[in-house]
Amino acid sequence: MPETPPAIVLVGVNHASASLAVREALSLSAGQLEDLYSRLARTDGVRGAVVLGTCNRIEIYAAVTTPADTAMGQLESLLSVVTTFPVEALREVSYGATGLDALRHLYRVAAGLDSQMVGETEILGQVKASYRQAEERKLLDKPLHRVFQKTFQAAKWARTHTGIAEGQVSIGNVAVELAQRIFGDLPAAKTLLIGSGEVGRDVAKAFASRGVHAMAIASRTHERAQCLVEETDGRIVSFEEWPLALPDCDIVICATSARHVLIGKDAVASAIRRRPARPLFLIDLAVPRDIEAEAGDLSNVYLYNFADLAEIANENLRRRQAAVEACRHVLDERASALWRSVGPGQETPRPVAANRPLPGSIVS
Amino acid sequence: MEPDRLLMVVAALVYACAAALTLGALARRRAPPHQVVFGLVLIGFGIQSTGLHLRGVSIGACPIGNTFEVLQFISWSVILVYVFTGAVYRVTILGAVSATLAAVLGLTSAAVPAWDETRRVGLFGGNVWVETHAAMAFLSYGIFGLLAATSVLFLLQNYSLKKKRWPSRLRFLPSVVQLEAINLRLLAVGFAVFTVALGIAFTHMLVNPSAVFSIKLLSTTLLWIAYGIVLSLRIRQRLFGRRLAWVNAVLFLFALSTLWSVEASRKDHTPEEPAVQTAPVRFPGDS
Repeated sequence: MPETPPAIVLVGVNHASASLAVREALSLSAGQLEDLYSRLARTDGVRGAVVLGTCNRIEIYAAVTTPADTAMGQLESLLSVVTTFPVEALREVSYGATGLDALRHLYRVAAGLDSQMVGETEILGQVKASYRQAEERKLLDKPLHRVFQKTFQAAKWARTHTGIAEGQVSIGNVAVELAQRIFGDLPAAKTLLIGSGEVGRDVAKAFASRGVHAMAIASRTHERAQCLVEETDGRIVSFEEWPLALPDCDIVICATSARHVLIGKDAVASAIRRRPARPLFLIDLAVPRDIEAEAGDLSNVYLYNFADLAEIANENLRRRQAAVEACRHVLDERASALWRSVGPGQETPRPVAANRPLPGSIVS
Repeated sequence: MEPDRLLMVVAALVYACAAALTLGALARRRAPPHQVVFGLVLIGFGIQSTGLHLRGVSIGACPIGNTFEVLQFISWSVILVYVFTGAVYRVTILGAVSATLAAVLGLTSAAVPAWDETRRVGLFGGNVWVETHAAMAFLSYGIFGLLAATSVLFLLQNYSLKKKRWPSRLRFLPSVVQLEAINLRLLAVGFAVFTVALGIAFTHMLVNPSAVFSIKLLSTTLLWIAYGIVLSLRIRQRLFGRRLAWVNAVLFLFALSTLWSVEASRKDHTPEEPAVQTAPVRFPGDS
């Protein structure tokens, strides 16, 4: 009897189907991932498999010759064994799909449509890394290899030709983007962070990730400042001394819990007088505000507060979401075209009876 | 249409294509296709240079003898500066700005046939210095034109950042610091070229005072003083940013207005200059 061509199945959990606690319990260490791959390689009927593990999802894409329901059960059991997470509890929060629906889901995941932050770009790199891990373990059969190659092409197309990745949607990245519109290259910009609150930390880390180094950090809480210095490769400035550093700074990030204005218009005017032709970018993340609003009226001074940054982020997010439907439609068409060429000898998708609802009504 | 004129019109259309490609990409919120735009600008520049060369050969002088030729020469200067400045600063949008400016100047010059009816053969009477003076003066006008365009970009970027209005199309603009640096460089280079041009003119005036015309002398000297003051204030950091950008844009309008005085001086002077001949040109369709 001729062997059945492999079908593609998916089993997984993500931010929409499972709580953070569950996702933490299911997250795979390097050893667990190795263990999972070796078990997958030994499982009858599994011809290939790719395990995608990120902070928001864990998914297994497999090429199987066993019936879809059986294969999904096997994959869930393997995940349960490796993570020691009860299989019954896993089945309550997991989703599954086969054939075309699994392909469509993969396309959407790689393009960032299924991400918590729609359009985020890191996910494509994570999918590629997972693909390489499977390839190194020789767990990619021909159809699965083709599926992932086509997925990368489709995801790249979506980023280039639709607005899903347009504009920054986090406060830190919005601030960085504005700084780039003012200064161009950021590594040369002298940056001062006053305060070490949560939002300030995020913004400082966003700047550090874009090449800003030797960031001066002034905080009343020495431990937090020290921690930020390590995270951003910065340096500590005494909280009493930061006003002296102001005229030399290009970017000032304020995130203190002070109840009064820390930097008045006069202080900014005095600082800008000493470097009149160089712009000064003030980012006020504090509530109540640390910087006098009128300072933004000064020539060559650009002042943005938390609400301003949030408004830009929200506007960008709205723009991305408006592009999602069009993008999803095209990706589905591409997935269908791929399915017709790699589908296991059939013109139409496999019956979806084996599917278990994907979160966010992904299956359409 | 004669080959030289045809080539210059074609070049203007190529520049217009480069500008349209960039604006089209911006309208779709996409990054402008830098290499294509740069390639088109280079092609247009080659065609325009050929056209100007042919015209120069036919009139036996640098082709800046009538309004059509002057506008074409300024447009050519804008692109010449971009080819070097754009490469140094890697500013994609500058290509579109230069191409737009060159296309507008080129197509405007071609839109009024009367501007090209009179061709002054041997305009400079074989005097290389006068010809060099005129060519350098118009080259500096091209640089000031590009300076005005980059100043407008600065104003757009500054307005967007100050007013917190962030149309996504503006994200492709160069940064404020980059535009400020480009503006300073263009201002300095433009002023230097203009100074050399005027220096040659003054040297010539000492030898032949009647050859330099009062209105032209007054307007161009005023322009030179104005740019000199602006450059001095910028270097001393007394004028920068938004105000500098406004001054650059307004000064270029003044520079364009001085072209009228240059042209008027030429017309006034023509009967007294035996070396100057005019060659009326008929266009297809003229009766």
